[in-house]
Amino acid sequence: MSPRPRRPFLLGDAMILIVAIAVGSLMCRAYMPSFERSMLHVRRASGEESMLPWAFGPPLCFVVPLMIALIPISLRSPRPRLRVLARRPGFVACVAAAVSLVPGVVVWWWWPKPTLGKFLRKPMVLGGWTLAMEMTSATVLGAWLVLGMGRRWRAEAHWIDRCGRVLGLYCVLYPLHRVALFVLICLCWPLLRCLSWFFGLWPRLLSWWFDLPG
Amino acid sequence: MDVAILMGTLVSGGLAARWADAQFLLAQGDETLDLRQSYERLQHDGVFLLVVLTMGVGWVAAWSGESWTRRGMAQPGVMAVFVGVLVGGVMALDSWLTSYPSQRILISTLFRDVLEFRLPMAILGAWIALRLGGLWRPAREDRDRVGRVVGWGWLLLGGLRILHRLVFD
Repeated sequence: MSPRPRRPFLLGDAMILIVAIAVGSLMCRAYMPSFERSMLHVRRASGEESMLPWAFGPPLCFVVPLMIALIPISLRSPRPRLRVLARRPGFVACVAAAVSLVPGVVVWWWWPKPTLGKFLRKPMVLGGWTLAMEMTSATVLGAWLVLGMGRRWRAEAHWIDRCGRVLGLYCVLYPLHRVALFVLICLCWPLLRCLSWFFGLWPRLLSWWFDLPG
Repeated sequence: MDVAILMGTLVSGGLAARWADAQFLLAQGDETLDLRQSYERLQHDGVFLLVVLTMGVGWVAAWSGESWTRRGMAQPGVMAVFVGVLVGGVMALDSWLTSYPSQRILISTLFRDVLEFRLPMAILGAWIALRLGGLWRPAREDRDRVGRVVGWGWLLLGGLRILHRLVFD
């Protein structure tokens, strides 16, 4: 049996991705002013600059639209059957991200609708988007657990699935990075204690990662 | 054995919900409850009931060897409680790590937001992955049936939370 032909990166894919980046830019433009205000508050409370909100806040404005854009890209022909596609972690992560936006869309739909320009200036964009990010991470995590625990993780060495996996991993890391670091710190406790004796790094390390007040 | 643990879980869940209800009423004082407070009371007690049920059914499912097979992992109820325990545990640990020490005393407040918003979405994501992959195979076993009820309970609670935003905020 001859292997299924691989679909290269086509002009149509590029057009879909450009639309997604445009939507992401719009969201980022609306998100940034309230995000910067909240960062000022954090800086005032902790007295330190933390890089983590910057790593997981604004980039997600682009990540979620790109994930949604990967769904129609995956569904373009030639493609495998839907059941085969649904066992690919990249595609599953993208579908989960799209589903996670449904509650936010419902809330927005029922909200009194101003014009788009006024809507984007509202402070609710920050709260709504933060909520959507948290929901996206949980949904992707739940979907990947099904594939992983059921031993049905069929990753494909193809650019579409790879992109989906990378973007999904980014979403999952949002809630997991602190937990992973906590476990790592517990495991490396003796080494870190030695480092703290020598360099006095321990309190600074903790306050930097966990945004603790100074 | 499984039936006994499930019955025990149901009783414990009921007791947890009663305790949570008493705590909620204590926090509200002697005032009569309006519509919003009654709604929040339902949400508040529901979280406690579902947490106990999820952990109990998760224990039964983990104890059974069949749950760890590929067929067991295709049962929506079993998957719902596994995802609930794992994602809920991770999210709760994350919220505990990120909160200020003074907030950590109020564990119920701390975890409620996490559980009401994120856990239903994790279960929804898991069930969608099962459905899309054609793996949705409900079993005629108590643990799967109760697990499905728990899963629907979490989804209902998530829906109530979204409705809360629409109606009261």
